[in-house]
Amino acid sequence: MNGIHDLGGMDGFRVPVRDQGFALHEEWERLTWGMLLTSFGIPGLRAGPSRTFIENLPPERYLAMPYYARFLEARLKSFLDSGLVTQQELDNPDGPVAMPNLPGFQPPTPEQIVQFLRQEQSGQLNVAAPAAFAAGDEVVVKNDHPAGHTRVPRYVRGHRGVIVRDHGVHTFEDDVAPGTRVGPQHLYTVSFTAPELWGSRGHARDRMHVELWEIHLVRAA
Amino acid sequence: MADDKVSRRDFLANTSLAAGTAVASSGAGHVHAQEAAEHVQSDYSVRAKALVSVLTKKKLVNPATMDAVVEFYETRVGPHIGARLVARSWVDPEFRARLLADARAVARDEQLTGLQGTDLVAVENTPRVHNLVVCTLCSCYPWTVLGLPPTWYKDSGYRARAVIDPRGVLREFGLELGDDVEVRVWDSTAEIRYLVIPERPLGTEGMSQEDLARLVTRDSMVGAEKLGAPA
Repeated sequence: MNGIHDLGGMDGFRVPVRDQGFALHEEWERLTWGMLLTSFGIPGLRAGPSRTFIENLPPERYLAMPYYARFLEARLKSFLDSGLVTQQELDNPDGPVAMPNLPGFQPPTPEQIVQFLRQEQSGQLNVAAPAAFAAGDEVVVKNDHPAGHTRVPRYVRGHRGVIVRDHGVHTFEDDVAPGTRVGPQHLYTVSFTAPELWGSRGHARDRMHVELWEIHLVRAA
Repeated sequence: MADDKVSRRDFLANTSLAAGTAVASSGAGHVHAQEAAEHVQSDYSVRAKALVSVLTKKKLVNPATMDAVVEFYETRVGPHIGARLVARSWVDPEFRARLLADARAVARDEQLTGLQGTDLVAVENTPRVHNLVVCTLCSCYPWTVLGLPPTWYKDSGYRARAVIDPRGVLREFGLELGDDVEVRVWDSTAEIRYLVIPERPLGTEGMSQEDLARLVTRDSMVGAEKLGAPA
């Protein structure tokens, strides 16, 4: 979707001051972060729609929200949608709560969570599939504007680039219409010259690189 | 630490203002923005505390486990890991070649796997090439070697401008690049995570790998700054 999250190339923003030190500055950010990473496996909780929720935020709200607040609000909504938590309970957190009916469920222990955080988490799949492109091939990014989630930033759509690396077959991350079978795809790093993307504002020497899946690309004529 | 708080507030003030109107540069506007930002902070604080309290009572989360997650990223996984790889790449050409050819395999050999960073790629800065990493769509960042991304990396301004005006962004960060330098921007749109190998500073000949690692800053491994000679 052409949401506010797709920020690349927009003018009018200030370049931030580079903060130093640990990223979680406030107590509520630490709470939010700990909650996010330990509540993945709760039965009945659909944690996946966070991205959809965040990308569908009204643009003015998205920009005004601190980074971790977007994830806090997304997970809050997932908990409410799942019925595991009610608005009344949240409004009166010191009051009584209904215990969830999840026989056998135990939240992860500290040891289990550290193991989880250390796990290999690769997008690459051990699948053999012929690659349509190889390093050096010239390609054009399809000019498509899907209504759902896509990893193709607006600023490269319709532009010509060069494949610099084939990363093998990766899980395809775009949302596609139900019933449409796309499945795992070769993932490539595609390099674009700055003038190709930005016209006269692009420095002739500079290049921008984006990871794109095979289905996003066509061979350049 | 005090400086951190100030820049954090500035950041929030900027983003709050950016919500509807142009960013005010006057002193008065800034004060209002800070008040608004404080209000927003306390609001999220109430909401986060309420949710965690309810989840804890329902035994859906374990507070000790939540603390362990934060502790893990605050003390165990952070930029000191990337710095170790960079310092070794400065003194060990064979390691550097391996890192540049297949950082993913190196990370596996060094047991640096984990969330956000298994599919690692290393790129090197040279006198003629400067690399800069960004995630324009969200906040992808190589947690396994750099820890959690700093606030500036997730800021709308950095994400918007790093791709269209990397030289301008770097200038504002204090780094002026000549026309003879090629800037390579890497926008992390999939699971590939980038580590920039900064140039080894002058005047570090003969330093131990351990001492070299202490010179490597987090931001230099994103490409946001160059490393100066040791003081």
